[in-house]
Amino acid sequence: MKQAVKISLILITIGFITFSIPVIDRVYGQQKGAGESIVSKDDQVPEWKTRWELARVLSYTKRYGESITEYRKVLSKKPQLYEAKIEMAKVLYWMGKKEEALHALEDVPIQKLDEQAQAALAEIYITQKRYDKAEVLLRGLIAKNPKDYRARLKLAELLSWDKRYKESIAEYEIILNDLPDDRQVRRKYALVLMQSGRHSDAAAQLRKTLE
Amino acid sequence: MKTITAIIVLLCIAVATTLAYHKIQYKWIIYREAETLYKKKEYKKAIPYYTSLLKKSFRDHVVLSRLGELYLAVSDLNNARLIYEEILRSEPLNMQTRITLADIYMRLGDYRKTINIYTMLLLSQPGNRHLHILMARALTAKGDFEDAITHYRIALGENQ
Repeated sequence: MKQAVKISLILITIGFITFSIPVIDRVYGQQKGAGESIVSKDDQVPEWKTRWELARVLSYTKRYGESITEYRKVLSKKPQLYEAKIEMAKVLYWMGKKEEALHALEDVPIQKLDEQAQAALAEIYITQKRYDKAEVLLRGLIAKNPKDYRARLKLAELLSWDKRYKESIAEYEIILNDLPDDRQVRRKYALVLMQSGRHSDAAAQLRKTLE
Repeated sequence: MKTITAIIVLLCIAVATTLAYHKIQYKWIIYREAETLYKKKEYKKAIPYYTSLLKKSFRDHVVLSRLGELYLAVSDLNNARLIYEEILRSEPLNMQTRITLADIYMRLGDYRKTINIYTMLLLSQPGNRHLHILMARALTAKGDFEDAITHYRIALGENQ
């Protein structure tokens, strides 16, 4: 009898120990798992970044003056933040402050400028008749996207103002090849043909715009 | 006779205990496998393991948290939303869970729900700078720029 009880007690003890192992592990595991996370808990947004976001939102509501003030505060703390500088230049450009926009954009290396900023900078150079600088930017935009017809049209116009009619006509023909129904472009093209002395070709193009 | 009965009862208890252990142990094997995959960052492979554990009601809270994190890691936002909504039902006062859920709603484009969560949280923590930034971002995404500006200003300590 005593031996049977002993055996049973030993069996119960073994069962209890094996049962309790996962329970202990469970508690331990919960503690271990709590510290690990793949979701970032770093919630601290620095002041300059908050201000930068504010500057952007102010520009969305066309409160350009306030927006520029905030951009300037951001850039005083982060002068190498080219993205903010480009955004500020765009706001200045929308405000009509082209000189200031140019000054801001010229601080940024060309390769850091996005397409919108490059187009804005080219536009400013054109208004200043700095065609050589504008041409480099526009050709860069076209090389990146040959179907950027706005940039190509600007280039065609610029080349004609620079009296490089043959090159200008070539650009117009590329545009009209893809956009044959664009009458405004065709009229500009006809004008350049006229300036280059090709009067009968110009007349034929003008006739097409009246059909 | 009494001795035999006692031995049988004790043996039954021992067998039942051992069986129970094996049943739990099976879930633990799955859990260990899931954790190993999680640590190896094999998130897509780990998800079915945690899902099966959840169906077996194993370590509900921990498994739910892991699953939520994994769905976020693989950008399965709809499932992540369901998991975090479930976590929130069991822990309605957990601020971090609320913020995570608000972020999921935001990424899903449900700005109204995002803003509702931040509005609730700001009621209890009106001076929380980070919450004002999150609120401003949600309002910006929704197109409520003027309100967004107000919250940005508060976050910067420039409340007018």
